[in-house]
Amino acid sequence: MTSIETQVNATTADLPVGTRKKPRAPRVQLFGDSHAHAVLRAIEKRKGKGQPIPLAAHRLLKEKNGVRIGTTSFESFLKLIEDLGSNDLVVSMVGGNQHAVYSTIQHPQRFDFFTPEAKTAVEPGATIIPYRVVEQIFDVGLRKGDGQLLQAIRAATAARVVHILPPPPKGDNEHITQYHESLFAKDLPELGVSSPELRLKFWNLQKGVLLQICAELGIEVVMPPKRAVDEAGFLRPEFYARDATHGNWLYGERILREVERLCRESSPERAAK
Amino acid sequence: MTRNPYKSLPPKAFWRRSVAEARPLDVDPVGVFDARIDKKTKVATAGSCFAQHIARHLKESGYSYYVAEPGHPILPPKIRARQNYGIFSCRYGNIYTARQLWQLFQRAYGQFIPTEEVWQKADDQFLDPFRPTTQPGGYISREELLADRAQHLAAVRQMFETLDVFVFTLGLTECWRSREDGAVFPVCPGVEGGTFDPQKYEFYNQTVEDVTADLIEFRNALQEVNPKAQIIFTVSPVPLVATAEPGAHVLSATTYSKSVLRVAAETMRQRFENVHYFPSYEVITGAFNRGAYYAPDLRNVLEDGVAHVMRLFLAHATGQPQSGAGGAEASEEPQDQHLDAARRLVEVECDEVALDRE
Repeated sequence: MTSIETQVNATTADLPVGTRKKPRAPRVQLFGDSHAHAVLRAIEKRKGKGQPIPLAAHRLLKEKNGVRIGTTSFESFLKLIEDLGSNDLVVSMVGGNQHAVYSTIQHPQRFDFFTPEAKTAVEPGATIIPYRVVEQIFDVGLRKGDGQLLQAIRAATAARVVHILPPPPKGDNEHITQYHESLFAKDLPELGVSSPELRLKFWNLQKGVLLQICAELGIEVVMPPKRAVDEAGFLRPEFYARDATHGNWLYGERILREVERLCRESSPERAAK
Repeated sequence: MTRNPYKSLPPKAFWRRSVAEARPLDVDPVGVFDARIDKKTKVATAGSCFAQHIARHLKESGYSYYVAEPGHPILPPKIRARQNYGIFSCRYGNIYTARQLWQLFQRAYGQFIPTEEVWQKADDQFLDPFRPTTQPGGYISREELLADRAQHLAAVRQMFETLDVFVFTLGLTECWRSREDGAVFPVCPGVEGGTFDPQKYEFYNQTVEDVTADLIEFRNALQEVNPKAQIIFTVSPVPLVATAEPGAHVLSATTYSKSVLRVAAETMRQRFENVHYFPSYEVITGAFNRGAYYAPDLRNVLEDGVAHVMRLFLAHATGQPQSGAGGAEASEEPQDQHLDAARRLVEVECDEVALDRE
């Protein structure tokens, strides 16, 4: 467990509680994997400024190379949300990086695919994979992975459940080359970074599959904050974390504002209207 | 003692000794078969649905089943199978007729470009008329279909030019043909895709002369691009699911079709040194097994039958006795064993089944 996460978790775990006289404000619990880190950082910043923090945020606890990362096991989180009511909110940021697995480092056998959104030309010389083939890879993979987690969250609580999509891909290959995660390091110099267009295609594909899965589970899907996305659909550079795929604390702050908007939607006053 | 030509013939020339009195598992109807494969021989397959069994057994037996269009490496094995990669050596789906095979070759080399380009089923669903069931759900656009087709035909060329042995299972003589340019389709337009229009399409039941002519054209063309290629023809034992021959009964139509294909295959074998015939049809349909190799629908072939065929195929083609009789033995065991065997019925996707869909 990192010190930041320890501090944030200790600070936020008991934050949103209802008032006694007025109708109770929604209690909000957020749970995610690596993309939740941006939110944890944003909470830390708010805390430093004495600003309100609308939720309790948890990052999946796991051990990587002997180091514990995260704050809360998935099982513990499910217990935490058991008692929430229909006026409360559970925010999922689980998974989310499957698209990056396929589209960060250029594959030795270059490939590309057509998409329903845009009939963009595919990369000359690249192997074409039919869209529905790629879609099935994601459909099967996401249903076994994120889909199972989302299903468990949905089943564990009576609260409103929303799933926030991961940040869109970064359009700047230089940034990725400079700040790639160590996992990718060895192949980067030789193979290079995939094209931004391919990254966006995979992100959109993943979005489509998650929309379908969430619709089946009765989970609302929240798009990445508009302010963080450029006209082409890429993450704006000011929201880049120093790695290939994640958003920074500013991105996390935008997520917090989205959650605050959702809370207003869920508030009893709004429900009464 | 009176001498006659039959006196010196081997047991396999006599019905009583090699069929009627032989144990079913010992029946080996292979006549002249000179094709040879070893672990390094690149064996490519195509044909009707029965050819899928040959491909599967070659893979499982450790032989070099040649797949020239395996799909991109990012595809997990299960997805590949579901998306019809590796079912045959290229992703061409079932090739039922000799004309379809010859046209595939011509299309691959740009010698024939059918006017029928795509079948559009919905706004985002486009089917390839020449392999309409190969891409589940169809292609999302015309552009995608054409790009994948170009890639597919390039793989077909590579396959023809680099294979060592081409195993082709002849399935049908009946097909549907474009009146405009003579292109034949694996499935009748209007069944899986497209719209049936009698002004555009006509029923065409190949004669033995037509089948033989198509196979000769194909054999000669293949030899031009790959002089060392050997060809093994087999005839599918799977009966027609339906016949469009006016007035015909499907059983008689099946007999006609299989007879034509068998004669054409034999003609080819006799005429060309690099052409061989393997009697998988005889193994499955032979009266010696009393129909035991067919599923209850009397069409699909049970795994025991496939195992019998492949045991003989590998024994003759490799020169090594095969120990794959275990599966076939099971069919002679008590009822529960037989049910076990029935459960192992291999589901083979046959486009033809769509004809009988209600």
